[in-house]
Amino acid sequence: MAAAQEGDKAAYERLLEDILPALRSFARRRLGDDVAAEDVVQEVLLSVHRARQTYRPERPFEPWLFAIARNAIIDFQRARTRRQREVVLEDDLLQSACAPTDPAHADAHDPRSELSPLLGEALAKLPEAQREAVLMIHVEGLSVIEAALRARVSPGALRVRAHRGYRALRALLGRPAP
Amino acid sequence: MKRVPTQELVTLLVRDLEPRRRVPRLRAQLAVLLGAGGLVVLGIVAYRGLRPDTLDLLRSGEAFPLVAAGLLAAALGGSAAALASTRPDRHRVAQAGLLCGAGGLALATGIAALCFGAVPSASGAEVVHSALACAVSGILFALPLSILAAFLMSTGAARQLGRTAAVAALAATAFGALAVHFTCPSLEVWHWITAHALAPVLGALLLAAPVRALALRWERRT
Repeated sequence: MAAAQEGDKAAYERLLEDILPALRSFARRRLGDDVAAEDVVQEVLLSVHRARQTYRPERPFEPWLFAIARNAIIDFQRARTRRQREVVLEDDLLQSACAPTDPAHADAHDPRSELSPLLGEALAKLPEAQREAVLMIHVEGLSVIEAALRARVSPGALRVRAHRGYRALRALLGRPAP
Repeated sequence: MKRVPTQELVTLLVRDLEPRRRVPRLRAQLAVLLGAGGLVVLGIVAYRGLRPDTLDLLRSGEAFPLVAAGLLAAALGGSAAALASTRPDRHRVAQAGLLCGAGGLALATGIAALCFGAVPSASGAEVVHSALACAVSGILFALPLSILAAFLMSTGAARQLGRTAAVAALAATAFGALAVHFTCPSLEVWHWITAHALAPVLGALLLAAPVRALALRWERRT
């Protein structure tokens, strides 16, 4: 890790590869679900990347790593409970609002051209950050991690932006809140 | 939502790797923040003048030393909690700091009010004005410490930056309120509690957002 802090990419890759099995097993034990465990492992990798400067070589590495993993599991469980209530409504909202437009006017390179005029107008009224998050995740189909890397924010922050965007869209399109 | 394979994520992270300056030791950062807090308190006391009966009041064993001890605990505990929260493996220090800070505030407000039966002996615009003046002074004195705390926080990686910023603002205002407590001429227990001991809560409410914004800005720069 000390070498990775200095920018040694090979050492960093070795470190991330080495910690993967332990993280997977830790997350599976806590969550009992392979898919959820893999999500958490990815969150941990991102948190390790973001917090890599907080590791101090005179302190043991494992407690630092597993503190990040424990926090990621707590955050994941909270987010899962919240999302279970919201995901159905979000999908319903976006599927019904993404009615196909006239194919003659659709731009193959612009994902927004697939949106119904109603949703396009509502999206235009959102703050830039929220609009970007909704478009990247639900229209372009990027993963949260890809979208977060592109927006240069943490996955958690991107999820919050997207969630606020859905809530605002729901209000703009006259749908009831969950 | 789709997910990238973990292996691909590892590749992305390795590609994104840049050298990062290691965060200084927690005790070093804490020493800097507490040292700055001590300097602010000493500077304000030197500028405004220590109230002449301070030693008598401190020895009295009544509400004055209780409020002073509570504010000191809130300042020390809050500073430790805010800085420790920016390091994943120091959550125990963060919890102990929070406990110490919350205990300090409880001591300075609740226990002081309960034990010494503080009730306002007067009411009206003048009382409110003097309470507001002390509380606002405490918050103003906390500004340089809040900026320093935001900078120190930005060198780490806080999990919940908003909460951490609120704790840092609370600790900074506790230092400011401590300076006000030693220089304010009031003899009213009610004034000490509302204008001095509760000032950190007001400071946390007002300064949390700017501290968070500053920390985030500096964190992105590094």
